Amino acid sequence: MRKMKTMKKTLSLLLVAALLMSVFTACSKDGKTDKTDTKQNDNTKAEQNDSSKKEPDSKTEEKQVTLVVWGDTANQATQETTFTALNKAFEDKYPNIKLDYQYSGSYEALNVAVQSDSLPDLFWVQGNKTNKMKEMAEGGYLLNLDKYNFETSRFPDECIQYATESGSLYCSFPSFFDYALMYYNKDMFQKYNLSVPETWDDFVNILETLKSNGETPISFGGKGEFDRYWLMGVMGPALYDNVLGQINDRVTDVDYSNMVKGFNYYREFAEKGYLGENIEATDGTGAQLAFMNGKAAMIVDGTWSNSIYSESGLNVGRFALPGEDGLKYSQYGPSNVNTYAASSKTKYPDEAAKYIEFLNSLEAQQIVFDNFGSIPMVKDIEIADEATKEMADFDVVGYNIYNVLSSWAGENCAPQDIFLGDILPKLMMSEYNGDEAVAKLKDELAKGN
Amino acid sequence: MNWIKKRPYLLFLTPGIILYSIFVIYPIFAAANISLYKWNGIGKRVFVGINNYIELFTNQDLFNQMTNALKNSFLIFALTVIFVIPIQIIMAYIIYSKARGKSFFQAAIFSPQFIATPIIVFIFTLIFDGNIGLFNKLLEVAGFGHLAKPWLGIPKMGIYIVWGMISWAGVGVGMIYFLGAMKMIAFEEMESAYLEGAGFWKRLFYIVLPNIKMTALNLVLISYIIGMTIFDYSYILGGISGGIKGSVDVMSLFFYRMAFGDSNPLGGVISDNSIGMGTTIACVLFFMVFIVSMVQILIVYRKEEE
Amino acid sequence: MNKHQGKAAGFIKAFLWIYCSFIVFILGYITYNSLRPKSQILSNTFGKPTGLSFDNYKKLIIDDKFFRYFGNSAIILIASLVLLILLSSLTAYGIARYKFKMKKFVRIFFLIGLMFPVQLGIVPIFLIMSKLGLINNMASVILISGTNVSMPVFMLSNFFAGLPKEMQEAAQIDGAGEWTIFQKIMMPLAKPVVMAVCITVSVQIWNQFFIPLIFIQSDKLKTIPLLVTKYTNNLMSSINLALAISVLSTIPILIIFIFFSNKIIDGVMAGAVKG
Repeated sequence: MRKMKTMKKTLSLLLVAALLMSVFTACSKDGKTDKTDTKQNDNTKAEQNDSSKKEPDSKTEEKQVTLVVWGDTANQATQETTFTALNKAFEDKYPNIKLDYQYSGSYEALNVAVQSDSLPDLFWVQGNKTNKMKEMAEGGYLLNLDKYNFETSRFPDECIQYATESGSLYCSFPSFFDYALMYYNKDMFQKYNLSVPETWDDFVNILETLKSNGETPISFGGKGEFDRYWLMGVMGPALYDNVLGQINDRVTDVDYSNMVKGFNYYREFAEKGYLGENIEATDGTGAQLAFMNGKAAMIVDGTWSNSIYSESGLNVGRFALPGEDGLKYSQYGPSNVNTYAASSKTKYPDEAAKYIEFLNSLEAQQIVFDNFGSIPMVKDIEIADEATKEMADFDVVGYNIYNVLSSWAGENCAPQDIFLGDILPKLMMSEYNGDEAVAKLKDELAKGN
Repeated sequence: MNWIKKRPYLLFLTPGIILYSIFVIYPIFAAANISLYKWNGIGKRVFVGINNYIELFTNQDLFNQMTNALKNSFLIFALTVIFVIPIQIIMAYIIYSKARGKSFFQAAIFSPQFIATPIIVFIFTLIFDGNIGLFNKLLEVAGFGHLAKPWLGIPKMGIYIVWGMISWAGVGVGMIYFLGAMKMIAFEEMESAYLEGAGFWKRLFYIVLPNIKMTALNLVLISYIIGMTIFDYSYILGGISGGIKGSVDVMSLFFYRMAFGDSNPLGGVISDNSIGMGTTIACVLFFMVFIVSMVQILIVYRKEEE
Repeated sequence: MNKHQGKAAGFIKAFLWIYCSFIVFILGYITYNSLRPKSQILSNTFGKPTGLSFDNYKKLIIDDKFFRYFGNSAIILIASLVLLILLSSLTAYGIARYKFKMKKFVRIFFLIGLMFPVQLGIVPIFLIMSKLGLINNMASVILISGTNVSMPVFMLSNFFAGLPKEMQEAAQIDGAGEWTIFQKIMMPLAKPVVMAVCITVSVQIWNQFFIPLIFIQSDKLKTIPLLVTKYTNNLMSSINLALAISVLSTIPILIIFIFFSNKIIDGVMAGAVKG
């Protein structure tokens, strides 16, 4: 008897557990049914309104569809206003297409979606900046956009290359670009009667003047991998762009002398205290705060950080670093803020392509620019504000060291990791000189052949 | 029916075993076989047998990275057992003995658990940064300006700083367990000891400690597992590469770096074998944790089936 | 029992006061900074406070609908906790109170969940959830966190083993069934440790980031840690909101922890086993 009772109890317990779960399922299905319901509702609505609706495109069938779009999770805070405006403009233009724009496109979630074959209709991609889009295209996960014959005349070549993989088009064209440059404290420059440098020598003189007046010329975080990188990132193209070009083009007999010189400057800046004290122990955030609190004259940071400095209340200016030839160098770096690809499994390929086409339009790009900033790669976007003008003031788009090196990467060869994790810290700590550092890099590149 | 009646424990174990197997065990083992493939997570999977394991142990660079990460993981574990567990016991005992302010202690000690890791790191930067930190300012004001240091970035101290932050944020967890264990001690036992004149410390050593022995042993094992699997502080403080010369690298970060690589705004390349090698590392990690756990459980619980 | 503790104890207590004050200082410092506008935090980091306001909080509560995230987190927490305590106390009780072969194996089996990085098994579990139709659904997060019983089973089983045998036997003689003994006698006795387990796993569930990141896409269902990382991802460009969300996600739960943890845990235990 007693045992039977136990049995019953346990059974009922299991039942309760099962019930509990079905309740969760039911109640949290709300979120889900929400979506499908609205879809159905929209369908019926669309049917009812059939005649009254304006036809945006004669090819589009008259049905209401909802596209799920995955935005960049990591940059939600900075991109939110942009995409709210952008998506509204799109929905106004194509009343039959609704967007369910979700900030769910984290690297991890996209990986899981690829591996479980459950990619959303549209999602952000990094084009040819990484080999992920290439792998996805080869695996058949991406919608081939060739047949839509998008207008390309507004875009320079590198924009089209960014979106192209083995001759086919897979995502919208980038129309902005990002690079690292110098931010400077205008008040401090004025105090010592300094002006924006026109040549590399000017720049070195500025550093010397500031240092001899007891100021920290450049606020520098030597602790983080990329915090160490940005300074070299701007010095590279300014001082040895030709070397980078040769490495990039796989020239066999590269003359590394300029690179040796550049590496030596980097080491020298650290040794002379141009970058502050205890740099190996300062982190990037600390360096940014020190600059904004007026404790240093300059900082190297990306155009993507412009909002931090311009909203800090500091009287801040910007300049691209000049080389020995007196030209101002930026670095190659298309922004992926508006580059989206479609899944090959999407139920609505034509509508998804419409979104991509919309992202390619001047109208959309102007919205992105007005809300997000960044430097246009296409000529017809109107630039109004001072900050962007300063950032767009460069003569040459130089090479991006990280990109050049990672294009060599293979199974046994990771020059970009060696560069970030070995060469830069050891130059900074005076453990390598320019020649040793270049030798190290050459060794690693040799493995890539 | 009879068969089950003789084994009433099955009624208690079955629901747990079923659900736990479906949602925890199955996915792990389904994923573990990826270690036998060469795969980057997107492209084609190529079966390579145990080549990934051979590669991990014979490739000098990988092997060095692994031993360095292991060394740091063990260091975190050792420091935790030597310092944190005794501190947790003492904290719990003070609260248990109804010291004034015990609720305040309990809440304050536990509270860092609720704060997001990046915020903890940011606040520590504000306080301990070399250039702008409050702490150095205080030293200057107090006339110890020459002692000012970039406290969070002293080279060679990296892994101790990581350990310090992990402990600062996590010390409350073990404390709560010890407190729970102490509350289970029969009141009469404590009372009679008290009446016999056993002092504060005597009661701790002769009554409390023997009663919480099992909890302490279990927490040693848990600390080992956590030491092997925690990585967010190392990641935030030293980046994906685990700091200059891997100074703050730990086992899980090594796994994470291999499996998912660096995701940064400049792009970069995912290795052809990222997921394959990453899973291999996770499996090696698993075996190391598993064997130690098994040894401990066999020793600690050796009497229980007799 | 508070007297005669000696100097050493006094010293430790003094140290604890200092340590805890340091933590309160840090919490206070975060709160203070969260009331400042962004420009003040960035360029006048250590200056005199000016322009303190609740603007950051207004933005989070009104524009970001903070309380929706809070509600989602709370639903997931409570449901996961009930499931987790039910499963783990049953299992731990089964392991601790009965003699059977393979017992050590069962102990280790239940520890395995702690030994693999959670990122590893994510694709298979995603496929399971998608077959069950639970993607973009809180139930998937609840099922995953409610069945992750490794730590609670491990900790609880040794406590159950320590409970006096005589009570179980006496109750059996009185004719109580296994379930009655478990529910009416053993669980109430184990309350202090169930409470410890509840508190520690609650924090884990409350803070978990990776699982909701993968399984929840709709804004309406997202949890607090996803909102926190929205602002900590670009820490410097949204530092004011990052600090404010840290306060919002910490202080209420701390208050609940201090004043109501006892009652909540009674409720969870009731929900899980007393039914």
